[in-house]
Formats: sequence, structure tokens, C-alpha cells
Amino acid sequence: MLKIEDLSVRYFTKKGVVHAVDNVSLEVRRGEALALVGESGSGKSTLGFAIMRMVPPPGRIVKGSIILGDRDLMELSEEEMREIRGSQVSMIFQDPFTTLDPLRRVNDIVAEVMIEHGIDEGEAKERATYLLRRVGIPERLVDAYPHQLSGGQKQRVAIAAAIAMNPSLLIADEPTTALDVIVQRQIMDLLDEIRKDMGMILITHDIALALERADRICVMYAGKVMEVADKEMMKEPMHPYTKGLLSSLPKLLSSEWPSSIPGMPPDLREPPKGCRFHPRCSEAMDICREEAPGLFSVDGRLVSCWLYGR
Amino acid sequence: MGLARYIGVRTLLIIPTIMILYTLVFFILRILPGNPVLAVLGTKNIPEEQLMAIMERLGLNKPIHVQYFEYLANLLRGDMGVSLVIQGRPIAQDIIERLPATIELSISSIIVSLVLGVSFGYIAARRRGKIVDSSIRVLGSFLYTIFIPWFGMLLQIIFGIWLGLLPIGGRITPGIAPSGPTGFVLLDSLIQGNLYAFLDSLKYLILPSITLGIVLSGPYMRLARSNMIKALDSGFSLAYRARGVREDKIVRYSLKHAMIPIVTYTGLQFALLLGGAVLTETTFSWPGIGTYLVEKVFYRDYPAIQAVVIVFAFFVGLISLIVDVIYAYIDPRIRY
Amino acid sequence: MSIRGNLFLISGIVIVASIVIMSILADYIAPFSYDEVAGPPISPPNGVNLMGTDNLGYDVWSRIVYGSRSVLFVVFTSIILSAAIGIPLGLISGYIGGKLDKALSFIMDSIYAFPSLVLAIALAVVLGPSPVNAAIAIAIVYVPTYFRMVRGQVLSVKNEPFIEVNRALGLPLARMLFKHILPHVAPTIMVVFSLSSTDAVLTEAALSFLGLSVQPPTPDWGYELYKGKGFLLSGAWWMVFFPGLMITLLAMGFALMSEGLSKGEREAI
Repeated sequence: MLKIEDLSVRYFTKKGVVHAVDNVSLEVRRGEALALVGESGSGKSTLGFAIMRMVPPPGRIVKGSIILGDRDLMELSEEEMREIRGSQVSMIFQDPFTTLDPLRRVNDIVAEVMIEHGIDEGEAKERATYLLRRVGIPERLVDAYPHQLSGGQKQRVAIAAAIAMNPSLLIADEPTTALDVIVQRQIMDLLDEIRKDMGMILITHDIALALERADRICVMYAGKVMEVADKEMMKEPMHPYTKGLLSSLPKLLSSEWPSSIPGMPPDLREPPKGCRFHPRCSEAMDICREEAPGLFSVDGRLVSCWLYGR
Repeated sequence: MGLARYIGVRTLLIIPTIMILYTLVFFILRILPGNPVLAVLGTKNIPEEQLMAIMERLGLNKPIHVQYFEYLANLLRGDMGVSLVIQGRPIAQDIIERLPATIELSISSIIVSLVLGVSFGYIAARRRGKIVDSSIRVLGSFLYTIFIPWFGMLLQIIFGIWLGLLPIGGRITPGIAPSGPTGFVLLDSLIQGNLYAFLDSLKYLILPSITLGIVLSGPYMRLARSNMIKALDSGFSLAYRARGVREDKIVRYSLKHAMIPIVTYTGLQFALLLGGAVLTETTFSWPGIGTYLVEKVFYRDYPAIQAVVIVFAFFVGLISLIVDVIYAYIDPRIRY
Repeated sequence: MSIRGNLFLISGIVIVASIVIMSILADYIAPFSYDEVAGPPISPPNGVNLMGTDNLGYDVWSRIVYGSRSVLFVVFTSIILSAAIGIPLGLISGYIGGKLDKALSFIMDSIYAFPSLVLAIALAVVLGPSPVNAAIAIAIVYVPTYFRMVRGQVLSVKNEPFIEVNRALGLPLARMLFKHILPHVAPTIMVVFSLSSTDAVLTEAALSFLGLSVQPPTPDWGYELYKGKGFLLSGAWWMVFFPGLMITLLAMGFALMSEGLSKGEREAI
């Protein structure tokens, strides 16, 4: 239902042009949860913002198309895009403490989403209350101000606002990173339960979370897609980077130390020639240093690595 | 806690503040050298007994702590003593008559400052980093160095004398003033439906409020700008945009956030406003407490000066209370 | 220091220095004496009287040049007095703390909260109108400014290890304050100097505008404005424009200095 084709996003800073997202192609099917996994700087958040066409300046989408349903979002005017935000695509953010306006009541914040998209005020307020109760906000807090709520409750409010108009796609950018472990589980459970047939893009650095919650996983590195596979297949990774990510997970019942990938992610103002991962890859070949691999389709998954293609 | 209870608690706190200011004023004016009576009479050649008699009459030769409490007791009854110069005229009455004019001027100047400050601050916030932004910031930093009487007089010359558009002194054309219930000419004329008087007094109000308003608007510009930028850049603005809220609504919400420090600032700098009001009133012959003070200064009417200073102290305390209440109203985090 | 900070600071110093020089070399700069009839009364600017003449025929430009003396005298005297009282008090109060600190802070805060001009007026009235008394009045009004700034700095430096060490070594109080704490406080003092000088210029001008500073025929810019006010209706704009311009110019000079200094200080932090 969402098709991203050849998307590139660059940040034009005073100190150089950062290639944050480079020729990324991706698909999200109706009702599926796709996890976008990567380290900081991998471009996953930027990609999320790009789908909403909210890349902050000095960033810009320089090419590509974002096809939602049957429309290319890149062809829409800003006003048309504004209509779509909140109603057909929604986003929830990492830090619930700063994403709710402290001067407004929680019910009004949720109701506003509907009002801005044409719903009558009285009806919007009622539905907002219903939604808040639905996400688990107790009756007495429905008219409260954000500072009266706990972190988990704030995030629930954000979720309620995001699904108010039944969007077809929900983008969750690190929705649980700022919360403690128990609340993390509650929020993820809520997301699973409440989105029904909405598609979801779960942006996270936590591959374990992705393996647990997503239907398909897309691994990004240095602005490019490394591997895309569904949950089961991902447990046997093909791409060297993905292998490295998985082996860096601590294993509870084993006495093995988790290993880490040597080296640092590249400076995206001057990305390495060829495959972006080659400087840190233990299986790098000559061709990896020269030419960037495309996305090869192998056994039902996509891998961007010369080990698997010609 | 609720707004009502917050107001109650805050009001109680004002009493010690005012008491301290009263004490301070009382003692400062007495510690300084110079006999007030002599200052009025202007001569040092009065025979001793006559001087003592006058001081006895005014209660000035009682021990200082007695004077302190007597004056305070009188104050609470609304008696501020009588003028030294205009025989027997109760000061309190003068002050009450003059107060509305000063309040009118103060409020309209604050309005001018706010409008100017917020609009320029908004423009600077929206065009961040460009020349417009830098110019507005520099302007905001230096506006206060304009000497108020000078600026006022220039406006008088340009608009009053050369262009003949606006009057240069006074509060209203003589004879037109409505004898209304509040003493606020603008309000009274509205209450009585006297549109002519309303417009007329508005004409007189324009130049003085613009003078004072412009000079004091600098900090408002800087505050509005920096706080709007903060709000527009913050997480909740981002979230609003992600929910498809219109940009102009987001700007309005940012303005509300920016108002908090602006309101606080107004309260803190009310003292500055009062000083400026004194100069503005003098320049425009505006019949308020400022000109009253200056007149009394000229005639060395010592008790009247003391009373005015105490009134000012009271108002500073009162405004800080009002500011705190408004702050609590705007920002729910304070009262819950 | 940023370019803009530098620019501000230098322009400020240039302006203030020019006016100081003007006051020192008044006898050479001014074409006439300040109480010498230099032309027909109330004449607009012309070849002889560059800024016109006042109601008694005195040359406005000369009166401005000589007037700078009164203005600068009052401003500098009041600043020095304020600092001389406020800084030591701030040092002591901040360092010793306790009840003394609480009491002093409270008094200072109350004065600080009060409209400075009104207080200055009241003090000047009681003391009697003269430049010296005006300077004293202004000084008293600005003592809290120095006190608070210095005290704040002392409080932040007070608990640094090197102070603890010196205290453990039994260093006498005066030496502690002046040799060890004062240097840390110095940059802030510079900023406060220029900032309060701006205020002092405006307050002095206000006091003389109200007749509470110099007395005629001694020239003073604020007083010239007071005089000029009476002749506005005759259209004698030059009596008001030039003296007022000087006041604003001097105030702006100090303000430029303080902006330049505080930008530099912010960057140093």
C-alpha cells in the first residue's frame, strides 16, 4: 500500500552535503508491520520523516517517489500534503515529554486532529474521549494537562491522536526508547492491538524489538538498505552487517560474549565508494570496494551484497 | 489547587512585601540629611521656636518609631496627610484624582509595547538568520537608550506643530471631559455614550503612549522572538505538523507559549514603566501621578512626595501579584 | 569575541571617548562660552551658531560642549560611588552568607524592585538640587545592581576547591576576597559598569530635566531640554533636538560597550 521508489534525501549543511538516504526502495503492504532497523545515522528516522514530507531544513528530498495507495506524495502541494498528515499517514515520536503541548488539555489535543480534518467539533471531542479511554487513559485524566500524566500515558495520548482518523499507515519513530522496560511492553502491545489493518513502520535501533514485533524487517546502514526479509528469515541473516547486528545481541543462556562490529559508521558527507559497509566488512571483496551492489532478490528476501549476486 | 486558591495565597503574600517597602521608604527619606521643613521654606533664618512649632504641628519631632506607626495607621484609614504647600489639602484625595490618568497611560503604553514587540518578534522569528532578524534584534537591544522626553518632544514637534495632527499636551480638550464614575476618561465617555469625548481623549492619548510604548518595547521584541523560535522548534510543534494542523494555528499556539515570559517580564519591569511614565507625563503635561510628583518636587512638598513614593511601592507590589495570577492562568503547570 | 561584539564594543568606546574628549577640550572646541550671548535669541541653526541659540541668545552647541562636563561628572561619580559601596558589600555578603547575607539581600532586592527614577527623584529632593547630590542619589539607586551581580558571582565561585584550600590555610578574609575572589568577578563588573552607566546617563538626564541637578546658568543636557520645552510652540526645535540627541548618543555609546562586552563574556564561557 506504500511504495517508496529510489528515494534520496540530502542535508545541505554549511559543512557539506550529507547523503542521509540514498536510492532507497521499499514497500509496505496493507496491514503489515515493517521494522526499519539501523544504528544512529543509518537514515531510518530521516526516511520516516521523508514519507511524511517533513524532512527538516537544511534537508530535502532530492529524488524518488513515495506512492501511497495510488498517489505519489511527491507530486502533491504542501496544502494537499497537510491534509494527508494525520488522516492517511500518522507519526508518533520518541519523546512523549516534548511532543504534547503542555498548555492544552489532552482531550483537546486529540480532538484537534479530527477537527483539522473536517470533523465537527462536538463529535470530535466525543470521539477523542472514546479514543483516550480505548488506549487506556483513565476517565479522570481525560481532561487533564500533559504534565499530569506519566510518560507511558503521554505516549498513549500520542497514539490516540495518531489513529484518530484511521490512517492507512502509522509511522512509529522509536516509540518506546524513552520509556522504561515494562511500559515499553505495554505500549508495544497497545500498538499491536489497536492498529488492526493499519500498516505500520516501526523505526528502531533495537533489532531484538524488531524481531519480536515486526512482520518484516528492513535493515539500513549509512543511508542504504542492506537487507529486507520477513521475521523468520531474518533470524538467519545473509548480509554481513545483519549478521553482525544479530551477534551483538547479548544471549541470556549462553556464556558467549556478544561481539561487536569493528569500526565506525562512515561520514555521510563522503560516503565510501562501492558498498558502504565494505570498510567494516570481514568478507569484503575487491568488487565491494569499487561498485555499490543493488538489491538482489534471493530466496524470498532482498539483500544488497555482492556475496549474493552478480 | 485551582486558580481561586492560588490567587488567595498569592494575595496574602503581598502584605509582607508592601510592609517592607513601606519601611524602607519611610526610613530612607528620614535618614538623609536635610530638614524637610527647611527645604520647603527655603531659608535657614527661621527662629528656633517657630521651626519647632511647625515641626510639632506636623508631628515631625516625635520619636521616629512613633511616627512610623502613626503614619501607617493613618495610611490604613486612607489618610495620607495633608500637603505642606497647599494648606490643608488632603494628599490622598489628590492622588486618587490623578491615579486613573497614570493607569490609562500605563496600560495603553503596555499595549503599544506588546503590539510592537510581539509583531516585530514574530517577524524576526519567521525570518530567522536573515538581515531583518538581525536588525530587529539590534533594534530591540538599543531602543531603551532613547531619552523619553527628547523622543516625546520630537513627536510633539512633528505631529503637533509641523503637521498639526495631534495635540501636544493634556488629556482631553478642556470642558469636554465626562464627569464619570470611574475617573478613567476613556471608560467614562463610553459608559455615557459620549463618542465625541471618547475620540477626543483618544487623540490626546496617542502621542504619549506611543512615546513610552516604543522606548520600552525593545525587550518585548527579543522575548517574543526567542520564545517563538523555541516554541516553533519544539517537539510539540513538530507533532502538530505531523498531525496535519494548519501552520497559522501552530503559530498561534507558539504565541501563547511566548506570552508566558512576556507577561512575567511586564510584571518585573513595571518599575521601569513607572519611571518612564513620570517622564512621559511631564513631557506631555499629562495630569497623572507623575506630574503630581514633579509638581510636589518643585514645591518641595515633602509629605506629598513621601505619599507618592509609598503609592508607587504599593503599585509595584500589586502588579507583581497580578502578573503572577495571569501567569498561573496561562500556564496550568503552576496551579496544579 | 565575535565580529559583531567587537564592532559594538569599539563603536561604543569611540562614542564615549569622543564625548569625554569633548568635555576635556571644551575650551578649545566650543566657539563661545556657555553664558555668552552669541547671537539673537531663539535663532535657528546658521553659519555662526551651528545649532542655533537659546532663549537668552547663548550658543546651543557651546552649551552642549560645556554641558558634557556636568553630565560626565555626575555619571562617573555615581558609578564609582555605587561600585565602591556595592562591590565590597556584595563580596562580603556573598562570602559570609548567613543572616547578614539574608538581611542585606532583602534590602537590596527591595530597592532594586522599586522604580529607580522615582527613588532617585525622592532622594535628590531631600538632599537638595545639585550635581553632587544628584550623583549621590543615582549612586544609591544603583548600589543593589552591583551588589547582586557581585554576590551572584561570589556564590558561584565560593565553593570551588581552590577557595576551600585557602580557607583551610587560614587566609585572612580581606586577602581572600580581594586576591582570590575578585579576579573571577572582574569580567562581570565590567559589563555591569557599562550597563549601569547607560542607566546613569538616562537617570541624570531625567533628574536635570526635572531641575534636580545643575542649576542655571551651568549647562547640562537634560536641563537644556527642560528649557526647550517651554519654547516648543515657537518652533524652536533645535533647542530640544541637539541636547536630547547627545543624551541618547552617550547612552547608546555605553549600551554598545555593554553589548560588546557581554557578547565577549558569553563566548568566553
